[in-house]
Amino acid sequence: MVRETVEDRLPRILAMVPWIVERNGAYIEEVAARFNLNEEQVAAELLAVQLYEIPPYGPDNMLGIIVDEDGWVGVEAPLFTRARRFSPQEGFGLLATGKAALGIPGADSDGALATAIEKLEKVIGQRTSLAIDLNAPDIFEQLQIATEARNRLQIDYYSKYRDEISTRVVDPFELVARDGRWYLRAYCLVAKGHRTFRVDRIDNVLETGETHESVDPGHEAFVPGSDSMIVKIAVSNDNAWILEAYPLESVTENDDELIISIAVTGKMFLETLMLRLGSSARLIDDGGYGNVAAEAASRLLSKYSR
Amino acid sequence: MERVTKLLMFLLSSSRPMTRDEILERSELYGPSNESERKKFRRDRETLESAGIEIRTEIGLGEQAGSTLYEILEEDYFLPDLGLSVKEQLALEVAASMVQLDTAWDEQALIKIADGEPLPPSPAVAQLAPSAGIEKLYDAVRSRAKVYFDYRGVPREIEPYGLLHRGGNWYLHGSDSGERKNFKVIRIQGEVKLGEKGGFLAPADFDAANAMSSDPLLIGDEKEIVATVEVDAFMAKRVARTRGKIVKTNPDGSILLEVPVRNPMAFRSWLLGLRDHAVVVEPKEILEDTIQWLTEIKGQ
Repeated sequence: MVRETVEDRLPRILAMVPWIVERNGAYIEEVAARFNLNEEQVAAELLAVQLYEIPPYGPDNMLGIIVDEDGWVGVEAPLFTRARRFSPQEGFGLLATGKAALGIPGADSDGALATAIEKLEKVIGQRTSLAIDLNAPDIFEQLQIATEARNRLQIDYYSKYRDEISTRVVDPFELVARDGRWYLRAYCLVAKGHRTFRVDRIDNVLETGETHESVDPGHEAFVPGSDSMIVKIAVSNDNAWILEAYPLESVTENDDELIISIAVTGKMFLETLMLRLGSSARLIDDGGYGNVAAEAASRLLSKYSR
Repeated sequence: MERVTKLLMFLLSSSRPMTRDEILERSELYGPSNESERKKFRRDRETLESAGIEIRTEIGLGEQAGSTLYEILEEDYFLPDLGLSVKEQLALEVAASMVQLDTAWDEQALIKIADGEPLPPSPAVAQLAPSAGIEKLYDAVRSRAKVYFDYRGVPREIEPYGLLHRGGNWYLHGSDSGERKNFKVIRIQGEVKLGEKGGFLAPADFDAANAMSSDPLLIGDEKEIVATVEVDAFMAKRVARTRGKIVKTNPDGSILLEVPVRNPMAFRSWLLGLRDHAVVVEPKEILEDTIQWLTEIKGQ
């Protein structure tokens, strides 16, 4: 077990004390729940204090903590009746989540979030110095209402890497924003499995008139399958943008090139990637897909010669 | 732990700044002032500072001339009254339940201002990953401290005006030798150093939301040009929904779309992402560039 330092423990006890004072006492289980600790940790932390006194002594210069046999915590702490200022991390985190939520349609129906953020900015930061753009597409609200009401939907979905539109009937569980895009997690009755759909590729959302009882199995059920192939590509340093744009299996430097390994979900994904990387990139291990770049370039060039 | 907590209590309860020797003597936490006790005090002071507690220092005058005075001010330690209504506290809790930060920073802050009542699950959740060092950059923005870091191999001295999260990435917007620029936070190299607080004034009309175009094709230093792109019927509706202006719809359902461009590389990436469904028609330089790009790939 890693031994915690005073720097780790002190902020925690300094957060617990005013929280308990404000409530005129609390049960250990309540403190544990609020501070995301187990009850033994809370008890150990509080019991370690018991009574601290400083000169000139007296009731205004002490910190006393009593834990009774029922787990009730009483605190006398005249010097710590209010919470500490936000740390830079806390201030940033609170404003970031608030501002991000403002970008989710329907998240601030009564305007209370916007006014709360205004008040926070007066204390934490400067107005308009932090912005979070979650870019919810037009179709978002319709999906959000259906998700909350557990309505079964029919959607048209464009699969970029099969380059086709298919009609699906889905039981929506949750809308998730990740890496700047919104996704719909749902059970697909056509594919008979859990699928993640990019919201900006969904069209023609229709209510089927049914509600669903499908059980959300959680995010783990939506991890991409193992049907992807690993390919190896040599890219020039000019193409280092790929390091940020895609999750890579590995990257090694070789003279003036980067050798990357990347999981590809199909030929079209690889084609598009190679077209974007250009002629300075070459496939070292094509995963059995062949020289997809030259084939795709030739096909696209034919469109320009008409 | 006990001595450090008591030192904090002593400094918080003191009505005036004190020299080290006064603290050693009056707090009754240390032995007679000698090198070992002074070291102990320094370690305790550093521990408090590492825990985020600001201890102000000043050089004494008169009888205390040359000595450093130490003080913790209430305004530095305690959270001021934010004046949040119960509805506003709840709105912040709901916001935190809808936005999953990779860290517990928001939860730690909420403990200080809200009750933590259980909330129903939200139908929409945004996952937000703070880049390394983002809180330090925001601290610089809010305290108007210049930041110093390396970017694209060049040492920079930036007046940071704001932070923007767009397209899954964090950007710092600020002035680099008088020129307004955006810096992708994950590309900042090495350690970020902060200058003095209050070191500059941000423009009064600055709004981070407008610091960068939401369209990657318009994020660039080049003069804006308009490209005309023909999109086939299969993709016409989907493409037109996100970008450009339809100038012609053909009988077969294909469209001609005018797309403003400031970043030719981003345009090429977008066009090639449309694969067989789109061709650029004009201007000539972009058309020729696209054909040359594809020809070189074909010739590999």
